[in-house]
Amino acid sequence: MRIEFTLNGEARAVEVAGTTPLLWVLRESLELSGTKFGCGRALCGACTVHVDGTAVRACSYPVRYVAGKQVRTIEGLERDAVGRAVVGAWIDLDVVQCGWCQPGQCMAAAALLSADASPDDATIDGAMSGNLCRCGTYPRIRAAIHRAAATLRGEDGR
Amino acid sequence: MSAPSTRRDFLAGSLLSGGGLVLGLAFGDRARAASFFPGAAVDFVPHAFLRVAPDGTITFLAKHDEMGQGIHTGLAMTVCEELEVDVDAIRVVPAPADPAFAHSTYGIQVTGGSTSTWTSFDQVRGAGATARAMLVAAAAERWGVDVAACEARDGAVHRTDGSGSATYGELAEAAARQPVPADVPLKDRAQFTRIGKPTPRIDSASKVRGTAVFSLDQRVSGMLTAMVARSPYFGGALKSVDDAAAKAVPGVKAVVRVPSGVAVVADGFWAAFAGREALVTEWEPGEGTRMDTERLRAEFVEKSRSPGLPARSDGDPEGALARAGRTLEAVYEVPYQAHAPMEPLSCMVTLRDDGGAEVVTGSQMLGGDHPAVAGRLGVDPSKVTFRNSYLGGGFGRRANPGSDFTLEAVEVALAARSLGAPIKTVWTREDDLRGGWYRPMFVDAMAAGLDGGEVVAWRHRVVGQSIIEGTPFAPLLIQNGIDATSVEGAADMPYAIPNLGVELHTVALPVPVQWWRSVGHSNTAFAKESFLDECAEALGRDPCELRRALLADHPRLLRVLNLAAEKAGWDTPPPAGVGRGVAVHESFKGFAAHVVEASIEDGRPRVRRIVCAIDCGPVVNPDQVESQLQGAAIFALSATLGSQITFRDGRVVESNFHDFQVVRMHEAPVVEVHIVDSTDEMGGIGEVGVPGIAPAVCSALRAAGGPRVRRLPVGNQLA
Ligand code: FES
Ligand code: FES
Repeated sequence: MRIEFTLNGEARAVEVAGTTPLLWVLRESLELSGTKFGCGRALCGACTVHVDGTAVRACSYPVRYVAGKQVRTIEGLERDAVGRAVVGAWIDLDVVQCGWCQPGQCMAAAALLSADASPDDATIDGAMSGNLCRCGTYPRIRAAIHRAAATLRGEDGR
Repeated sequence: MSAPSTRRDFLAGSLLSGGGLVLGLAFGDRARAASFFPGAAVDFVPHAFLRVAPDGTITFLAKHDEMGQGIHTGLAMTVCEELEVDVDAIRVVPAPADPAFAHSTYGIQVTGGSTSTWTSFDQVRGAGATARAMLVAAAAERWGVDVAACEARDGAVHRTDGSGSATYGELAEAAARQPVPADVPLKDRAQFTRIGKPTPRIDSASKVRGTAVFSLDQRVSGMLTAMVARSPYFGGALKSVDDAAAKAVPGVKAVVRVPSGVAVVADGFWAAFAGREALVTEWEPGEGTRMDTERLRAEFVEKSRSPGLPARSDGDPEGALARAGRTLEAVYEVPYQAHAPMEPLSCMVTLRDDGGAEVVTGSQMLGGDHPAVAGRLGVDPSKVTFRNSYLGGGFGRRANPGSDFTLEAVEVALAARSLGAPIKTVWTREDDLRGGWYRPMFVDAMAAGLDGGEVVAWRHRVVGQSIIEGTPFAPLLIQNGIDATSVEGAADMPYAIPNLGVELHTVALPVPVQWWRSVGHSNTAFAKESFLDECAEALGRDPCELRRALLADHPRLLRVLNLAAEKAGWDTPPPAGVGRGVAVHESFKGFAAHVVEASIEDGRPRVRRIVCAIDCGPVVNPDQVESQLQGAAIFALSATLGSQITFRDGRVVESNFHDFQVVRMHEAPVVEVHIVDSTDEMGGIGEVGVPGIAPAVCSALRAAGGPRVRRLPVGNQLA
């Protein structure tokens, strides 16, 4: 079926089976491979994207449900201040190790910071516990979320 | 004491000549070196590692694979230190498969054993220094001055009298005509301006922004995707397959038989997945029925009651145990463990008309995969090219001794050759967790004799599968029936106990096993350090004090132990309800100590704080040492608390991250890392932070009032 939606601010249309997970449409049909595959069962968060501002698991999200909606992926994250703060903090603190989980981590963190400008550690735990990092970068992810929040509040965060 | 031959000794002993050969290859043949840099005809390519183009672009080929450990940044810092150029002014590209990029001591191209930094340090510095010397010589010639009147700095050669300078790009063509100097002096440590300083990773921005290319992200036009249905039984075989429904799935191009099972080749991941779901297969379990965790546990424990092959015998362990005033015995167990790198495995193969192939992959061991593919295709290795990617985690899995996922992808490409397309064979998480090549399951039977407030006898019996048996490494690493990796960390244990025996029972089972971050140490350190704590408890001695007393002759272990204990506040009481546990262990030429604070809440373990100290000798990038130690702690914590691979009726029980439970954000403790300012021998880092976690956590839980956990993972044993 033909599905039209907005992807990172641009109108897009794809011709695919509506049950295909959004992840494979992004990665293969649209050649945006920043969104990663880690489990395929909504268990790891590697595939996190935003649909109408909400973080969803693209691996388990049939593409037909994005018809008419706004989809944002890591490739479009820096289009707003929250996204820029997140990416900036991640780079500044050298959060990444292998990096495979990190686009998903950033998408989850940006969704969190859009909803709560000053999350405490318990809030971070709640929002981020669906995003696995096998390399164990959690301490730096936590620090980077605090750093991004500080940046967004206009503090230098250091 | 018999020094066991571990992986690193194997290289040292057997392949020293390889080291010279490597240098010879990498430095000797400039025409060949230039072939690694397409289009480099007029550029300056002093050797296999570096190319300076006239436009000033400097390309560095990284011989070690970047799987998260920051080695591309570390190697770049190392070459830049001598080349006198900033890290962000060079481009780092993964090396192609070629003996020029062989591991400096293992002799083949591989990344593993926590060896990348220390084994390549002098070689890569030499690469930078050689290039710098030739650039300086070219500048001196241009200006008609002595090289002493020229100085390399910030990507340019400057006249020391300030009268001029030329960039490396401007000098590239002239430098290419200089002879390669035989012996270039390297800097003293005191002269370092880049090595030793916390330095940002070169791959952070691209990985955060999703533009870094991993194996699964690789695509070429016309590419197809394959998924393989494999036997659910290790050692099983295909009995029947009905592929009619699979072939009817839109996008499925072919269903083909391969040695490992049935491959569905399709237009994209989702079609391949749907096609494989539609396959109807029946499997003959064969030997696979032997795999049943509860049965194996009983078998292993039974075996551990009788003496194994001796791996070490100091004094008279059996006599001393018999004579001791008091003896302690305990059995420790660890399960099969999957690596579960976050990026599932994949490998793309394009068959060439000349019988060769192009392989695009994410491998830790091109030096094994390259000849394996050439061998399977029956062609000279020159007809097989490899392109490596960033690795979305490795932990050992991508250095497969049988090149399993690489060769399987070749089999798929061969079986589906008539499609005439590049084929990327991909794995799902279920395939990964159920695909074997695990860290083996082990039982460690411990016994100690206590007398006069001291540990006077110690016996450590290891029961488990050999990782090395059946691999090309066997002749070197298995001696007198002892696989050195099965007893590493036990046979070389440092504690001064006069009567000390280490024995091994090697068990043969159909499941393939492999090195998993820290290899044998992931098991032996758990048993050794936990049991030493049991001895301390029985003797009424402080666990740190007992270790200090037994490590008098091991200054580097003592130093990390004291540092971790001090930073953790070992001598001050922990918060109410919190217990502290300690572990200290040497592995991969690195020395680590951990102090863990944990509590038990509603019958569940809660690890609150991990303090680690490491001595890995001189450090290249302290920020990445910290990062590796944090990551190692959390990786190890997953295996300590929740993750395991178990078998029931011949099949793997776990399938994905709901039942293979790894640590998540809310369970991740604070991890404090302290690096010893050490001028001792350089050693490993990436694996060194793993072995101490399990015993320190279990001792902390014990100190918090829980039982002594002797079987990993802790799971719900505290409930
Ligand atoms: S791949 Fe979607 S949650 Fe894991
Ligand atoms: S950085 Fe490797 S999985 Fe998170």
